[in-house]
Amino acid sequence: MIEDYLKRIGRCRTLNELNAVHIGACNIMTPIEALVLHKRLADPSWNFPVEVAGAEKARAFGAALVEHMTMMVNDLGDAGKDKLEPFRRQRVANGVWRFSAGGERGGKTLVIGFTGNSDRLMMPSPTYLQHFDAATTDIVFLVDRGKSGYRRGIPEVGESFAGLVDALPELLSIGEYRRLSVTGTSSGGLPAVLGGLRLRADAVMAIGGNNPEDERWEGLGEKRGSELLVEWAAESPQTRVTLVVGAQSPRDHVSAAATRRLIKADIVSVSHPSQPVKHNAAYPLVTQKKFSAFAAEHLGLD
Amino acid sequence: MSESEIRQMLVDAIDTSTIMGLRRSGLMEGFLAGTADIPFDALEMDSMGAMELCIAVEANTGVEIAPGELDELGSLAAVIATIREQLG
Repeated sequence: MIEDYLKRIGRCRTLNELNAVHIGACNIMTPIEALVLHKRLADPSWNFPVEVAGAEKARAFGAALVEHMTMMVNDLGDAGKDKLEPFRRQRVANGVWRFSAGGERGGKTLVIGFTGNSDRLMMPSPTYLQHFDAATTDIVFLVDRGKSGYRRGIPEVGESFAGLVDALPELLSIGEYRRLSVTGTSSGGLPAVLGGLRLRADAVMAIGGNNPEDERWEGLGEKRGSELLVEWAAESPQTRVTLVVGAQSPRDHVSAAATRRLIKADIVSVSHPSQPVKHNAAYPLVTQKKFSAFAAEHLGLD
Repeated sequence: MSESEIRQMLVDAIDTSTIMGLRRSGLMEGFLAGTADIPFDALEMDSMGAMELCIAVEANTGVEIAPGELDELGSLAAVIATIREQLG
């Protein structure tokens, strides 16, 4: 992956092209890959290729990448661990990635993540993964490249929301795991709640999820999203649902309250002592060194 | 690219990004109709959203606006003006 990344950034002419390549890589990179890439970029012998970008931009691009990767490596430290979690990435299907250190699944929890429109769970993948125990947890990222809030499913996996969710048990061998937890952020938040209930997960944690009364959720097949929410919640009374919102995001509070009017759920507001917490309520937990414990609590991890 | 096409492109780009405030602002219909501007404050746009918007603008129009320039532009109307100026 790293060699491919280095080739691709060398073809970038502009900052926006570079950002697109870098963001894409940081959405699927493992913690170990992040550290290796940081070392490569920060090595004095490495220089950003000048052929396409030109000398002046190449210098600026190289410096920007080193700065961002340094910040990301520092964020890995916020997980408070003395080693990197040895997750390896496996492409399960188009838009479906599994991160696992291998080993028997029978003692593990599977965490399925419905990423938001940025194709991430409110933070780069290395940062996210480092906050979980690879020995006891496998993590799946679902990516909706069509940006429909998963209402049109994921091509080649399921062509509708219900089709996608109903394909997951076989695709991900969910039955082999001891526990199932489902999470999602932003436009993946409400799909996580719906999907977690449909899959009868042990726990669901949605961060900054959409309002189920939003017009975009009116037509999910023959039913409204809010109707499916009620129906699937009734079929999965044991699923514990937590709706996480930023303390300074009043509109996310409204969305969470609308969801809680329909199903049993806890609302947890995230705050920070020195800065407002808006829609992204996950990353401020990282910088406060609280995300590991927070995720473990609300996803029901050991 | 006409102004209305640019407006639609911006709405589509924002609606499929991490920027959450577009629909919530109540300004989307007026913006598409050309009767309202949308200040960035109303979009609830963070640094990731700014990068996504600039990536989409460049991919769809070829006009390069750096994320750091958005603060100075201040609103989507200013982005449209920049795109039209660059496209000539």
